[in-house]
Amino acid sequence: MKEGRLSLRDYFRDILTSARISCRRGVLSGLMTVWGVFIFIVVVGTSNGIDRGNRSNYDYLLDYILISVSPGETSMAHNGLVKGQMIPLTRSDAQELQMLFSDRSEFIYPRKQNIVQCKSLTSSIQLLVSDYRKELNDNALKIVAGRNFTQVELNGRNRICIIPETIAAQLFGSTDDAVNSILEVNSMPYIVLGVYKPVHQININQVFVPFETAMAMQGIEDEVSSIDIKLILETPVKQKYQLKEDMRSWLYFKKGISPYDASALHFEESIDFIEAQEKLLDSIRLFTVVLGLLSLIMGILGVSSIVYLSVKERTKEIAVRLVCGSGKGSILRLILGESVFFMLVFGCIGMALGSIVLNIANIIVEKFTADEKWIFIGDMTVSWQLILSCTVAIIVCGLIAGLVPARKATSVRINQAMGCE
Amino acid sequence: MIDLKGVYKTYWGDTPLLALNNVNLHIDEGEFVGVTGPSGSGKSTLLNVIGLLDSYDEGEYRFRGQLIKELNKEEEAIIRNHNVGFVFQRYNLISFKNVYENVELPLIYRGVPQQEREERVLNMLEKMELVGWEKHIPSHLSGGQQQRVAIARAMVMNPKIILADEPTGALDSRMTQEIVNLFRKCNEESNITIVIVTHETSISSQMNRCITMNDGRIEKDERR
Repeated sequence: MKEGRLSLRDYFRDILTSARISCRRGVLSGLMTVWGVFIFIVVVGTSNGIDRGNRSNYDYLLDYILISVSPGETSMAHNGLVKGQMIPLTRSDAQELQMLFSDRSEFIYPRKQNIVQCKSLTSSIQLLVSDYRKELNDNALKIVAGRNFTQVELNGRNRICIIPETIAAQLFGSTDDAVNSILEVNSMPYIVLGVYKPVHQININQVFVPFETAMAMQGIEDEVSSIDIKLILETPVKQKYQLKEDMRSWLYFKKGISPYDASALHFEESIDFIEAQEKLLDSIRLFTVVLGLLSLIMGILGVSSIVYLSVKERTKEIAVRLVCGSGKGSILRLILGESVFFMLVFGCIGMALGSIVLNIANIIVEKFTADEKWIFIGDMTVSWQLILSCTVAIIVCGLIAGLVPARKATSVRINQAMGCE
Repeated sequence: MIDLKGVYKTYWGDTPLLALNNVNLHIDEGEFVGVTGPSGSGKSTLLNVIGLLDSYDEGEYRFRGQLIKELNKEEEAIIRNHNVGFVFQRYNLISFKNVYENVELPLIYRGVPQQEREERVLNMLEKMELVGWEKHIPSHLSGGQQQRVAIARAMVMNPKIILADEPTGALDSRMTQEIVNLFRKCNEESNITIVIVTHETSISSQMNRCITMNDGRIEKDERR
């Protein structure tokens, strides 16, 4: 051991002794630290909850449709079109887009949504008509029982459908029992080919039917409700907008719409919605970071004031240590050690209290938002990783808190502190 | 052992105070020295400079041949720890440590193993007639006992020199004599150099050498 330094055992013994003495006078300042860390944990937990809650509302969109084109009305006369004329979209539009832009998109498919009545079900169901094979294969909606459509079936006008777990449970008791059973839609019997797991609230009443079948059985025409385009996930934003513009130009040209008409066709982008949500969440995160830092600063000030007071009152003791052969480095380590000790003790109390409060809040929130379709706040519990990072942050804060008092301690003038002339 | 040549020290306040003015002093090993003089004459400053608790502005100071100006603060701390024991008027014991822990402190900083520490501390407490008081904190002790703890703390390192600044200033005459006897015993039995700053002529008259200071200068240096 280097001379002028305490052994590890003596170092910890001294820290504990000094901490015991300082603790008596530092309880109030310590509470400030507890409060600071408590607020930090609660704020971080709440922010996580808001993040998780909001994400769960649109997470499915990340693997899903990114651009959706739907029919609109012209806002100006152009090329034989009159103002206020409906511009329909058809399956052939989708097929042509598919041919033209297949290299820049993952898939393009027409989609039609019909609200229909289903025998044995009190509420109406949404009949989704599209080239659903691809959509169902895309992991966005997983088949949990039975199977997907085959390409032959999609073109064969068979009366087949794929239903969500929710409807399977209501009508047939279980997913396995639902497979190969008959579902009556608008008085037409359909064989249930498969059961899928809804990933979001909007899926729970969506029944999938092939387009050809729907056209034959339900009198649905060639017109579609929308053409959905899924982009390749890694598509940069600039290319995404370029693709959108290219598609728009092509559709406008084909249908003779004025390039200045903004409402003839509607282009909706789920990615815009996601980006807007992400920006909102980023703002919340930034707010959390600022609030968290302020809380930690409060904690630092609390501990710093305890240690500073302690150093001020122990000037003579520090001088005695120096006289007894302590190096200034040893004094510095002793004061920093005390500071880290205080920060850890009070910080851990703050963390524990914060975690308890978040767990209670979680139970309450879960109870009151169980039936909500749009989840504003989700799981608020803080992870072990965060607790670990917080502990490291607390140790660093302890060092910061002890820095000023420690410097003061090492600048003690021995002869003055000892009461010499 | 102690060699000061033309040492100057000024305290730079609103009105600069020349605390040491061309001090030349040589102290040999095993001497029993008293330093007297009126208040503000520079006695304590001299003691602080000798004990490496304070710096000097000009001149040359050699401690056991080592030129002090060449040392950094950490090296000074090591020299202090190895060679110098301090005793102060106000005892300067650590209030929350008990008698045993106070005496043990310099040994801890020197890195002495625990078992050896225990032996040396108990041995020293026995010499200072403090057996049975090990677990008591300083406030439970009388002034004389506290000063004996301070002397034990200074002695436990087997220093070459003990510097005592008004060690009997807070004690009654019986205790004063007891402490002076203790210093003499340390000097005679262990050949430790003792330098005591005191106002009291009854004490300085018992020393083998008496240095009188005035206005930062050594006015008289008498050997008996």
